[in-house]
Amino acid sequence: MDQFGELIKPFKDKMFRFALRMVGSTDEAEDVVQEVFIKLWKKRDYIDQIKNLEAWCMQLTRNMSIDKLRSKHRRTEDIDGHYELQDKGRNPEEKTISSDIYTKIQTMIQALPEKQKMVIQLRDIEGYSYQEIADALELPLNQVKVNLFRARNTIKAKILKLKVNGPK
Amino acid sequence: MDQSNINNIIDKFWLGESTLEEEAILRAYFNSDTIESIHQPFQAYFNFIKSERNIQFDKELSLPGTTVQPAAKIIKLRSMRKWIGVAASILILVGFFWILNLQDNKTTQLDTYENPELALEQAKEALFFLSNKMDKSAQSTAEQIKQLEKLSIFN
Repeated sequence: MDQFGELIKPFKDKMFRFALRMVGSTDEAEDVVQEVFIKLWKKRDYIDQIKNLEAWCMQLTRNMSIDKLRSKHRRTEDIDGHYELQDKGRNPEEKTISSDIYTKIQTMIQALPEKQKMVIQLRDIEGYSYQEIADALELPLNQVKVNLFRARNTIKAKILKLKVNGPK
Repeated sequence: MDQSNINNIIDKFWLGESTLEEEAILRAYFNSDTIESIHQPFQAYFNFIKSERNIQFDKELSLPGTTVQPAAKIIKLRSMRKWIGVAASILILVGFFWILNLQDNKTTQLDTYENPELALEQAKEALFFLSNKMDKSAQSTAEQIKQLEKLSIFN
């Protein structure tokens, strides 16, 4: 088990953050990571055949997060209203950004279309290359670039608007 | 840091054309104390990125049949509680019908004859005896009526 756990240790935080971005709830994001881990365990005899384990785990994380979101949509119509602010894991010393601004940026990203949201998460937060994003999201490279451009464009416009209006 | 270079990288960043190396330069720049006022509005976004990168998965991962046992036990007990309720209801119902059946048995008469022919014989005798008695009483009633009729002549 420990030896097996070591396999996903280098990227389990990334998986969790990615799931969190998608589902918006700590408990559900933890469930997603746990489910991916079990799925990986079931495929343990074929792990050697997986070319890029991290990309494979991220793909599974995305698929399971989408499944969770769909079942959540069935339970509630308004998903945005149920998004919890993820302050978890933020070290007090690292809180160089005020809660208000943090929430506003969080909401900006959350409001992005699904693909843009996933691309911005993998690029800006996780520092993935375009190719790594394309592999994880099973998207063509040009789609990754287009989605990144659109997402950053929206964020830039909203950030500048925030500044013009001043922090509230 | 070279400001014109920073300006150039920032422009590329928002156009989605910056490289990973250039983005690392931007993160370092926005984490420094020498941020140009023109770039200040974007600092919040880079601080947000820094903050998000610190979120960690601190839950212990478990495989089926290993450390998830406590949670599984709770689920088992919860589902068992339902079954205990169902079993108790069935037991009460069975007990109720058993008692009801016991009382019904008490009210039904037990058969005293094992041989049906003997029973028929005895029944015939009993009925014949009853019929004789009834016949006798009918005769005496008729005689009494006759006497009464004789008495009515004197009226």
